[in-house]
Amino acid sequence: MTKPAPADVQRWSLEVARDPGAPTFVNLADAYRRQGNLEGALRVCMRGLERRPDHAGAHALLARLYLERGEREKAFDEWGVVLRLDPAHFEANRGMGFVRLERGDLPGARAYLERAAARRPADPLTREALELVERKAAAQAPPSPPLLGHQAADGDSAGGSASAGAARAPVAPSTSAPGRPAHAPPVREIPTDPARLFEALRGGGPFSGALLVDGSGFVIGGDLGPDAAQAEAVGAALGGAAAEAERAAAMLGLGEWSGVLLHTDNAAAHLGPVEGGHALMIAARANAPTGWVLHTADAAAGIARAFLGAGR
Amino acid sequence: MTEAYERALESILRVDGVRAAILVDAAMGVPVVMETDPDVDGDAAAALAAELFRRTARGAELAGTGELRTLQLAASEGHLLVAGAGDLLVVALAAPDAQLALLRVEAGRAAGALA
Repeated sequence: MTKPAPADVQRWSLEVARDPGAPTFVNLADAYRRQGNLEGALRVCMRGLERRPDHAGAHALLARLYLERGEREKAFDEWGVVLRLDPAHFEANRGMGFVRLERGDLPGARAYLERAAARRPADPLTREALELVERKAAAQAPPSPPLLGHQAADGDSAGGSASAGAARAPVAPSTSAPGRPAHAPPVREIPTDPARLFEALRGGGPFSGALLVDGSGFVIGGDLGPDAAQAEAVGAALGGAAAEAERAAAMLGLGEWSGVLLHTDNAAAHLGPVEGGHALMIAARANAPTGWVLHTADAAAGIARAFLGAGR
Repeated sequence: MTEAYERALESILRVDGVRAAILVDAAMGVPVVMETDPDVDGDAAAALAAELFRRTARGAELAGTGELRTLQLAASEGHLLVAGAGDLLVVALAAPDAQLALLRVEAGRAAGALA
């Protein structure tokens, strides 16, 4: 089996974060296993099984994880669960066959291995084990070599390590203390031109623009520059980011989100919720003090609320 | 390498109010190394932080503001801080009364050391 694409793993991890019993929890756990993160794989698998205890594929993966950790008895127990759920399951039959073979139970081993072979006749390990069973049965040979290690290393358990960082300039830590040193311009009147909605905040300071978007990501007012088409694209992206911020805060038990403060190469910015599912982003020069950004975000939110209220 | 990752998290974990420090594979949204309070779901935090960072970075890119370096999600019951470190993300979860300014500094340093 090929290694999953990072985009797939990203999607699965997000689905499982939102619902630990999502159908893709097995894919995610297996991706962890392929990275060599057996502990993470076990965690994801167990949590998923709490919600979907009858998932044969998850029990089979759990058996494989136990095997790779050297916990054969637990693996054996899990295969037993798998076979109660799916008597023809290839991997569980093969695993049970190996265990029986190691224990010298030749009839039992043959029965399981034949069921596995019926499912996948070309599997070399199953064929090899069956041949061994026949040889042992014929010659009463001494105890067989361990086969469980082969099963665990079944061609696809690449121990991919965590990815290392690509070359990139180091992140300069911000040392600006959050405070409220500056005075945001007072709001005197609401412009009727949506593009000029936040004009009152321009005054030669670090402010560079603001954009108000609705819950669907459509721009309602403001601008971040002269390019209106760019504003629409930014608005669409911000709408998605705001929805994700709300979801992340709720799912991580952080309560109701009040804003996202961000720093990029060239800007400091703040994205926050405004009533009615709207979101507001303000942007400033990168060296703007954090407290000023937060204060200006408050002022811009006041303008946005007044504008939205006036439109009713 | 895991040792370097763990070292990067140590200074973050020393900040008062920090409940979790996680290094996340940015592309996949899965934890590489993590230290969390027992009640914190580190896998979920990794996935959600990576997705939020990705979406916000997209907005920043479209706005022409350059590459996203850090984001701090503020909420009524705590904070989520994410700093970009090349292919990794440094993620911290903190209580509402955590020392946020210091946390930002430490997360930035950790990201700088890893990038």
